[in-house]
Amino acid sequence: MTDQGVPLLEVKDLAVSFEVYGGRVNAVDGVSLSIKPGETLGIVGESGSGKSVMAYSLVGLLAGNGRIDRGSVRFEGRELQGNRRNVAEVRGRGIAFIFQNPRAALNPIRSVGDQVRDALETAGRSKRRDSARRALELLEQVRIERARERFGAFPHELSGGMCQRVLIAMALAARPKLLIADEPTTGLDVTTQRVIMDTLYELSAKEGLATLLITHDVGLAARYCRRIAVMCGGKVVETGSTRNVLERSENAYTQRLVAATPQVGRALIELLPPAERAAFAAGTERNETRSRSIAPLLAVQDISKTFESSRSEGLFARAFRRLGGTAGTESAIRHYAVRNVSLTLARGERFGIVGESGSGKTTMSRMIARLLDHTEGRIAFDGCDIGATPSASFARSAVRHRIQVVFQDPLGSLNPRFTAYEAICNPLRRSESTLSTNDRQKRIVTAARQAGLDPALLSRFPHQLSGGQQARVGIARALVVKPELLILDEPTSALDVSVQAVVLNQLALLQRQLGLTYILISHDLNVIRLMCDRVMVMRSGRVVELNDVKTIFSAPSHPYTRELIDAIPDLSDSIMEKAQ
Amino acid sequence: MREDFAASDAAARIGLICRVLARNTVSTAALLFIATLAVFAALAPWIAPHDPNATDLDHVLRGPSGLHWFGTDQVGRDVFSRVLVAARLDLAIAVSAVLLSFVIGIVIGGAAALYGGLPDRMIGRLTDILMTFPLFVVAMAMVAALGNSIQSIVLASAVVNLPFFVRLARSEISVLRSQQFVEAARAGGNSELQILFGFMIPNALPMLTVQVSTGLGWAVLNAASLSFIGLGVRPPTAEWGIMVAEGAANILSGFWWLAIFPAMALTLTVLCFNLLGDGLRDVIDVRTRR
Repeated sequence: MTDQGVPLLEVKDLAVSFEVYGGRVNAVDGVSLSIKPGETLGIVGESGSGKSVMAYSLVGLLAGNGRIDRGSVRFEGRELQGNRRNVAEVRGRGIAFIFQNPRAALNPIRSVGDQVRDALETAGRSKRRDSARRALELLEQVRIERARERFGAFPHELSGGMCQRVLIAMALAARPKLLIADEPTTGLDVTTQRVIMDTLYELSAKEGLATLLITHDVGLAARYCRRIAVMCGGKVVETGSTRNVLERSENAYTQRLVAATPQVGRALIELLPPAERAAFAAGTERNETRSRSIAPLLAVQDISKTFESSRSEGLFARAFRRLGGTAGTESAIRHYAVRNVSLTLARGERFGIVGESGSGKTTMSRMIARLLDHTEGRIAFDGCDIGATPSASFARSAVRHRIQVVFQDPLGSLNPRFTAYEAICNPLRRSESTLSTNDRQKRIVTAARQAGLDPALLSRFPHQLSGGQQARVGIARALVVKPELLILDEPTSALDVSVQAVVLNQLALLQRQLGLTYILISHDLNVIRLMCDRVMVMRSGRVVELNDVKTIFSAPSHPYTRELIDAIPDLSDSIMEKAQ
Repeated sequence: MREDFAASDAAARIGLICRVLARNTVSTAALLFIATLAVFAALAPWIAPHDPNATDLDHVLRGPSGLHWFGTDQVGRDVFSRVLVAARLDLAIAVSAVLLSFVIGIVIGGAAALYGGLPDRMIGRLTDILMTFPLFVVAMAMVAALGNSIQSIVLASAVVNLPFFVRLARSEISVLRSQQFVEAARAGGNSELQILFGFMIPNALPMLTVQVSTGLGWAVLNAASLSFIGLGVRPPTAEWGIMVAEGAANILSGFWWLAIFPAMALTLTVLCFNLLGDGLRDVIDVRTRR
């Protein structure tokens, strides 16, 4: 056992570069850091900061075109850099990894119990006969409920959170001294994230395990790490105790990153650095009680969406069942994706829908946007019963362009073969086909400007744009046809926080300038709080709570809402400090 | 402004093609060979040094020489001229056959992917059934039934190629169907047909083009094989398969040039079409642009 003063892992001046077309790119550029035994160090940075590459390079897990240029990595006093034998010994045994996409990291055709057993046996910690017992213990240790039943389950039968727990169990199987967790809860729901991180935290405290937590979420790092290293452009720009880094940082990048993280008690405009606020400030001090027309813009009445799982059995399954003589359950099972939801929206209202995955919030938005048919209920837009038109023929409806959608995945929602100009042009061509080329061009450039997209970028293809620029093309495409209702389906969930800050401000500014009505769908209550007047909390297809944003946050009436609010990591709330 | 965008796009496209070619020497060589062959084939009747069908009983079975580059055959016809003219016929058959299966394949495969359910299953089983037969035997049977003509060879080659295009178009379009940009197109007011032609097919093109290239190779081989066994094109028409068949009888007597030259032309053409496929995918796939 190493004594407390000596670092468990010491990285000095590590540099990694990748061979790309036309030269080399430095992904990690002189990183130095150290972790003491049992310590949790958070590596915080936005995409492209080199944080994951740095972690992978520690144990030689670089892609084929990657190369460590210089630096040293010492683990328990042994040099890993350039020493394959030491790396092989340390990998899995001394240093264990858990990855971002837990389901992809598990073998899909082997039961999770067996995979934990494999991990135990590979690490030489158990013999075949007692590995099953140890594996079960491990699964219980990571708090998998009914572990005995789930021992034989396959990864696809478990939720994402469960899979991540299995991975943690596998990582712990070898009793490592250091656990590298690369975005362990990204893509999981906030409540699941909370449970996973709490488990991870308790286990590492109990086992004396040091953890390197790599995350883009400053709140998450603040909550679970005593020390934080902030990375940007392949360099560590700042290292220090969590409190100092978050509250008293002198570094401009850290300040910007911390400020851009939405949190309680901060206004939308405050997400931006002071120098950039002026451009978005117009109309922020508007009258709260602005006139709303009496007739609602959107009235949704008791809509439901059911999916029938028709049990489409294969030929062989059917034949076997007949042979077996059992009648089988032919009855189709109805699943409610959305059940009896009603809402009314006034013109100019900013409405939020919040919920975790599977809550039906996206199904809801697609039905309102008439991209999906509902099974029951009525949808009326500006007095017109749009629910009566099936989604398949809604493209020809006059209302089509009055309801527009900004999609979740900025890159995936753009046709890869269209330039930004063509992408924005397409809906305009469909809505106003008689427009002259000149007028059309003006409209497109205006829409691009409104969305904050430099018109010079219009000739680019989606993959030639950054994530934030792609998101702006998506916004411009929705705006160009002058919609009255905008549906924003997680418009910033794929973006870095600093980009999110700008895009959210842009959207808020547009709403004020154009008097838009929007429905913002998000899993992030903090974003909803900044962007909406009223919010609807959904869970498994039902409305849990619908109220003013202020009321929801100050006095949630449903325990689930409270649970959601509590699960959001907050910068001022550190588990480390409570432990002290 | 729109024109500027178009110009920069064209320039970028040419730049990309050059870069891809420079990186991929094998494909470049294949492309050059096919381009040269296509030009020569198109101009064959005018540039062939001799009349391909003119017999010259004074110069029978002469080896390659300055006058007859590939030698002469058993009735004194110039083998080089015949190989050249045959290229015209074989390429024409292959291109029309593949074009036919390409268009029909997209329509059928696209319909299967879009409508799903019963049409999808029926189309799927029909292609399965077609593919259970040895494809060359299907082609033989078709030509035998339809009669010995160039049209029936084209039709037979198209049918044989069709299942590949149907399957590929179906799988590509069913993947694209669930993409978010298709949903976005729907929200933008595009009808289903506009989505199919404006969004899905252009994005399915890269893979389909690779299939076109390999398909062309197969179609050339198919046409030649049919003629080789005496179906389809008949002597004295200059055609690679017939020439190889006629020359094969003379190889044992030492007159190797009769069969070797058309066989080489055939092999190189098929090989180059296959090699070209990979390069083509890089050029067409917009995502490789940097």
